[in-house]
This record gives sequence, C-alpha cells and structure tokens, in this order.
Amino acid sequence: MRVTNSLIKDQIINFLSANQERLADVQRQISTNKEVAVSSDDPIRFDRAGRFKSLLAKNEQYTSNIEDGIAWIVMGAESLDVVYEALQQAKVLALQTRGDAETSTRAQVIPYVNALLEEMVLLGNSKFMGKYIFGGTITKDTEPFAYDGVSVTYNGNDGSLTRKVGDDTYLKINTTGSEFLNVLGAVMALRDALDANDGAAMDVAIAQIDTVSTQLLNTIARAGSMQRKFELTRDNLEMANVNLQSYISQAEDVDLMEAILQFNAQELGYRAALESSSRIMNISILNYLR
Amino acid sequence: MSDESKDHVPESDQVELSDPLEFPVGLPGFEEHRQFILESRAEMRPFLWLRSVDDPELALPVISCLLLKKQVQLHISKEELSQIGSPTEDDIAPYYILRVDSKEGTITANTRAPVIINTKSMQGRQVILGRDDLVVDEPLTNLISSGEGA
Repeated sequence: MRVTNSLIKDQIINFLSANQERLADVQRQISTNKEVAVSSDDPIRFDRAGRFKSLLAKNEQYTSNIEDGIAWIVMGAESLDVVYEALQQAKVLALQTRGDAETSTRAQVIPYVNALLEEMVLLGNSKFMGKYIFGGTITKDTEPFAYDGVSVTYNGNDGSLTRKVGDDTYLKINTTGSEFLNVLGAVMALRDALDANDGAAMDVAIAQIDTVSTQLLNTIARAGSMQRKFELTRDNLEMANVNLQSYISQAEDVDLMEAILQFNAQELGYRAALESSSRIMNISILNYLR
Repeated sequence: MSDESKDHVPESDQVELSDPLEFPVGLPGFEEHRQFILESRAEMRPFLWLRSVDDPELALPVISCLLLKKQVQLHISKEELSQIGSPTEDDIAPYYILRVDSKEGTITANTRAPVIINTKSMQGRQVILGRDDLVVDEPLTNLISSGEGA
C-alpha cells in the first residue's frame, strides 16, 4: 500500500461514511486495548521508556550547555564589534592627520588614539560569568592583556574552549586573543607613528589597520557561524526531546486510546475531516517552496 | 458459533500498513532508526502510528496535516527536500507528531516540526519550520476548529 494523496482522500471518505459505525467500534475495541495497555507492565517496554527518559535528561543538560555556549559567543562577538568600531575611529583619526598635516595636529590626536587603545585592552579583558573570554584556556586570575602604556603583552594562549552538545560532539565557543593582539599592534603602530611625526610610518600603520579590520570582520563572521552551529544543534535537540516525550507519554504515562476516544467522541475529528475534505482535492500547502 | 465468526473482523480490515519509509537522516531522538512504516488501525483513526521497522515497539502517534483545518505553509529548504529525493508538491504528505498531555489528557501536535514524506520515493524526514509562531505543543483542538488563529 502506498501512502498517496488519493489514499489520504479515500481515508477521509471512508472516515466520514464510517464515522458513526466506527465510534461504536472504538467503544468495543477499548476493552481489547486495555489489555494491550496493561503490557506497559512489560519490563522490556518499561526499560525502553526509562532509557529514553535518561536520554531526555541528558539532552536537557546539552541544551543548557548550548545556551551557555551561545551566551559566551554572543558576549565575545559583541566585544569584537565594539573593538571594530574603535578600530575604525582610529583609522579616521589617522586619515585626518596623514600626509602633510601639522605636527601640532598629530600631537593633538595622540590622547584619543591612546584612549581607543585602552578601551580595546579593556574589551580584550572582557569577562563572562567571571571568566576571561579572550584568554584561550587561561580564563582565571591572569588578565589576558596587560598594557603598560607602551606595549601590550598577551598572557593567554591559543587554546580552544568548547561545550559538550552531544555524546561525542563538542563545539568551540571562544576566539583567542592572538588575533586581538594584531589589532592592538596596528593601533600601537599608529600611535608610534604619530609620536614620531612620521608620515611614511603613518601610511604603513593605516595599511596595517585595513588588514586587521578585514581579519577582524572574518573573526566576527566566524563567531556568527559558531553561534549558528549551536542553534542548529539546539533546534535538533528540541525536536528530539519532543519526539522522546511523545513516545514516553504514550508508552507509560497516559492512556492514548482514552485520549483518542475522548477526542473522537467530541466529534472534532469528524468535523476536521468534513471541513477539509471539500478542499483536499486541490490543496496547496507548498506555495512557498524555496 | 456462527455469531462469533460474524463478529470476527479480519486482520486486514483492522490494520493498514504503508510500504517501508526510509528516513535517511533518522528521526531526532531516535537517530538509529532509519526505517518506519505508517500504520493505520481502525480504532486509532484518524490517527496513525509512525512505527519503527527495526523496533516495532517504538511508535509515535501522528496525524495527516491535510486532515486539519488550520493549514500551515511549509517552508522547506531545497537541501532538506533533496535528502528525501526532492519531491514535488504533489508528492509530499505531511504529518504532525502528536503527544498526549499527561496532565490534561489532551492531544497536542508538534506544528513546529512536521514529518514530511515523499510518497514517490517513500522517503521521509522531520523538518523544523523556522517560524516562532509555531509551537511544539499546539492543542489539536486549535487546529481543527474554525476561525481560530492565523
């Protein structure tokens, strides 16, 4: 037997004509099914429900890991967005004072560039739930970025932080600070060029800012795709849990036949079939296939 | 004796089975099960069982979306459709997986993620419709009564 649309139509027609008869039939069958229902005492069946229940609990743990992972990634991406904005501001200052700009004008912007640098260092030391997010696997005690007013040292590493989202699936949540360090390096090059009043060095610094800007945008995009991976996994887990609950509920919690009987007794099923049978011949549910 | 044989309903009238359906990517939660059948039992109608071929004890109650008044447009990506043999509109049969709410005793449908079956290739999969207004536990009565919802 093929499940085709014509079969579905036939089913509805049969369903309509046989409805009254069928209700009586259901009443008659309930007693039979009660016997089947007793088989939920069947240890094998109960084991299965138990196994799916523990799967459900595990999935809930994974879902919580996913939420934590997404929050972590979002926090990182937001910090990187602000760093990007600061980097563009540094570039604007550089463009305003490149070429044959007066020495005094260059000196004037140095404090602004320094302020942007300090802001970036602060962002590099961002924390989420008490942990540094750009320090690699060094998340506690030591700030990833130390700035002494001249140069920046990175005290983190390139290690990946992950969250367990499936039995054998770990997804990365962090962006390490080394990419961050390139950004800071470009801004420091600008600051030094301004300090030295060196036009040629400023052009080099501007080119460097353009390069790290592109890298930074790629890093932000990568964070976005990390986030999407988490979200897809979350959607899939959610569906898994709904399916598991569907099985568990009818396997042990409730009397499915009772619920169906109740449903049909209200003749809702009858009305549903009646209402849709007139339209089913030319039904179009996929108007927006893409 | 003759009364008894008159009451006896032949098995074939009680249960209708579809051909095996292949789920190339499994069903979330039951990923190891790749083959299912749709099973129609007289006492269950209009509901069907989506039953695992590998483990016949494992079955989920479903209902054809086409039986419901409240129709939802299915936004399904080409990629997802290609996993079940790229069916045309006419070849798709959509089903909702149902759950009996143990507190209320009512039946709810997962309208967020219907199971779609390519009736030509007999392949199926569950698809997540990316719409926030669709819920995993829509009371079935909301789907069949007229004038409610969008």
